[in-house]
Amino acid sequence: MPLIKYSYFPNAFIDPDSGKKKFIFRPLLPIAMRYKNRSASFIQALLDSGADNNLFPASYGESIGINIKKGKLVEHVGIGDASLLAYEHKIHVIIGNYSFPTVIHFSFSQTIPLLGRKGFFFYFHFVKFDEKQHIIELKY
Amino acid sequence: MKHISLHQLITFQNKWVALSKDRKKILLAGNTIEETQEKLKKENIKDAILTYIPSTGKYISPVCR
Repeated sequence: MPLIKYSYFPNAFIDPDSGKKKFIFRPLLPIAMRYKNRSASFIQALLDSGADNNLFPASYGESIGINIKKGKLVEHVGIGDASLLAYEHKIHVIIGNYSFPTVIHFSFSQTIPLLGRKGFFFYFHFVKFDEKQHIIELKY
Repeated sequence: MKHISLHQLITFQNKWVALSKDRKKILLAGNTIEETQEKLKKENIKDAILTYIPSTGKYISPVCR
């Protein structure tokens, strides 16, 4: 079974109390999409084991010609009272040498791309987060 | 392991940046995905990776901006 391996990606974090600057490492993976023979640039998406579905910024989908508002309207809820509307589309996701057809929800209110369980984790035998070494492993 | 500096990550917070293929360098930045993609096209860079650099003083949770 092939294995895809990436290191976590560093972001900066400034502690609001101490003002100390430090790295915060997040499980961000470079993926690309294909839709009707058009391919989008690679983009980093956050592996989110708490998300049911994939959720991406609408502008990324538009960059490969997806008419976002033609998709089925869906609603996402997350933290607190927040909810947002998104549009469902069938596309191909590419990660490393692996490509598979899946569903992405695109929203005009979402900035950080999220990879969720149903539309992403489902396509792998396992997804391993190594929080000590900052490594993600995906076996398919 | 060498990676992007804290200084750069703070400088580019709330921006979309294009990373080198090995994700160790910031090539250019824009305020939106479209602007960043336009700049890449202009520079004829084809193998960059787009990423959003979040604000440095906030935690990330799903479905929030």
